[in-house]
Amino acid sequence: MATVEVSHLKKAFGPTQAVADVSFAVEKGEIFGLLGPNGAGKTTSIRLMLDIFQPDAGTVSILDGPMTEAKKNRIGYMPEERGLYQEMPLEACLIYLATLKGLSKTDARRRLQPYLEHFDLAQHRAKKVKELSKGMQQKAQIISTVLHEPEILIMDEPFSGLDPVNTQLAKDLMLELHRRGVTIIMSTHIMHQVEELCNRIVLINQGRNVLYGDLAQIRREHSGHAVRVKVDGELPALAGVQAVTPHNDALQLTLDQQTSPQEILQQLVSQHCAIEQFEIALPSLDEIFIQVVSEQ
Amino acid sequence: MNRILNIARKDTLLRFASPSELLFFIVLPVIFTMVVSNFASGQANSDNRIAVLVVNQDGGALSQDLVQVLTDGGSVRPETLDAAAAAAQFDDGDAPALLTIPAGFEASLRAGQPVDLDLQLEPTSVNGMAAQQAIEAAAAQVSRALSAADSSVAAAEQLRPFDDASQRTAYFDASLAAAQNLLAAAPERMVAVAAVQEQREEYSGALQGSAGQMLVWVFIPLLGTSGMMVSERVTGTLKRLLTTPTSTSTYLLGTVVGQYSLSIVQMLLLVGFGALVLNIRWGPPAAVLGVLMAFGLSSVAMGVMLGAFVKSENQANGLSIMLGMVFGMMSGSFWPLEFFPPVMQKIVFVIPMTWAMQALTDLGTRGRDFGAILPAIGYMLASAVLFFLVGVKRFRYE
Repeated sequence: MATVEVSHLKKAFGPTQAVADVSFAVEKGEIFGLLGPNGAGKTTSIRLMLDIFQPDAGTVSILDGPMTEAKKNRIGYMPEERGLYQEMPLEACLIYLATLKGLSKTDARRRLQPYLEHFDLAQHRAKKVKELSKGMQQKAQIISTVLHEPEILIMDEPFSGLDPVNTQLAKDLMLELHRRGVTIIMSTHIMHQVEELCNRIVLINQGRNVLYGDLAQIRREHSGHAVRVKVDGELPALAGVQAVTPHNDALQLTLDQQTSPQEILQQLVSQHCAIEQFEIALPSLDEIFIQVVSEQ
Repeated sequence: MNRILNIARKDTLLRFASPSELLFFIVLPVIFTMVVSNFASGQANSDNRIAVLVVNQDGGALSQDLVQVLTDGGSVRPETLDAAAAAAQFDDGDAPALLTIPAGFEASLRAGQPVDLDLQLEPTSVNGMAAQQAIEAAAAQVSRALSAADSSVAAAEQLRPFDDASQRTAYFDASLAAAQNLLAAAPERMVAVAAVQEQREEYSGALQGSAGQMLVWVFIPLLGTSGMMVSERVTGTLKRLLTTPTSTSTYLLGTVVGQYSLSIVQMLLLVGFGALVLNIRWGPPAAVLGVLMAFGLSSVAMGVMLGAFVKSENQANGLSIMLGMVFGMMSGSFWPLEFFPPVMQKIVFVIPMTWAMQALTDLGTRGRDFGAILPAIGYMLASAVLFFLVGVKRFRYE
């Protein structure tokens, strides 16, 4: 049984249909990507999952059934907006939020220390939240989401406002939690982050599923009939190639329908080319995203 | 319970995040209490007689008698000045009446001739009219003594003519003095009879000022609970609460407990300050505490209700201050209710603060006991329940 199972969710706010038909399942221990352009319905879908909103139709099963008050302590949610108390000192704010998740103050303080050090926030613990930079506040948000050691982590745009160093720190933390068996649902519109972390994804557009499944499989399904090649020297003339376009420091060869990648490789070998790189050209998630959303 | 206390503690931290909050919590209430209490006490203890400027151009015994009779009358306070100073003060509006006793006042009266007193009054001034009545009464009293002396001289002359003018003048002076003494000693025609009052009923400016300021300074931040609620809604921290096992009632209780506890501390500090520094007798402690607790509940519940309707923190804070000032003015917290027209005195009892102010005044100045202020406590608790129910029903997370 999936840890989270969302089935045909619908939610409207007045005349606006925020979620029209969204379904997906998240398996225990995986990192799942909830993707979509701005306004696609990602945040509303998350809030429906968390019982913040009631759906107009559809069902949500989380940790083997509907959401209950007791289950809320087993879930960590990081909202997109900075839901921290700006006037409170950082440490007091994080401890308070942890106590709402069922931790005692003593436990919360004890668990907080290593996280503050990991994210380089220990020296800012007494500062008011509003005195911290955007990135520091985002790191504080991440800490408040994981401090009570949840079984499911739901993060809405987790790397928003983080510089590359802190983004890597946050990714490392997510991977560490993933290794410990925590189920992670990550909502974002920044595709390359998904490619690095997620096993499976659902892509939502205009409140509906448009792509869903294993990430590698999706990329294969959307790949064109092309290979990427890098050779030492000039690329010789090859039969069956329709077009040659530069791609980073390699070349992308678009093949006609009768020519297979293996035949191209054989031609290169037979012409004694020094091959440095040869691969099936899979589209990036960004390219798939743009293709699918523009088709919609 | 822990969750409620944690929310209350968080709200306390947020409220005192800026040290300036201490200014509003205790410093300014104490300063305003002192200023208003001293002013109110000063008003209560000051000389309430109407000032009358007197220019005595005659300077004779009869003119001085007239001034003395005015003084003894008790309703006006004559102040004798030279003509220029009196005119300047009158023009400045320092007194509503200027009386000029002309030269030759005494000689004319002794000769049995009428004398015109020059009286200038401030137009449309009620105090000027009252001063005029007091002056006319004093002139009449002086005239009555003169009439009695004249009659006495005439009667004596019928019996036996005086030997010379000096003997006649001496007889007139003796008769005038006797008449003045008799008039001064004459009993009042109207006697005011008052029942023996066992209960203390004495206006206390200090209590009025202290209680009024306390209620207003406590009411405004309690209504400001609405600002805290809308701030949580706007910043998204309230939505975050929904992902924790924290029910709406737990959140509201935590918010109310925090602000309510602070208000009780604030009120006790201000009551203590009044008792120790201003020597205010507040009345039975249990009854006073009962009034304060009921008032705090009613006010914080009103804050919860307001929090469900307002859209921004600025709007909430603006409304809190405005309602605090309006209710303060209408509830008798800034001045006694007796200053209002009778109909208004009844209408303002729709405001819980009016009941609190009335109850504190009853306990402190009228010597009432707990039983007498139970209706006030009942009204405030009932309003608290009503406000809280509306607040809970209209509560929203976004």
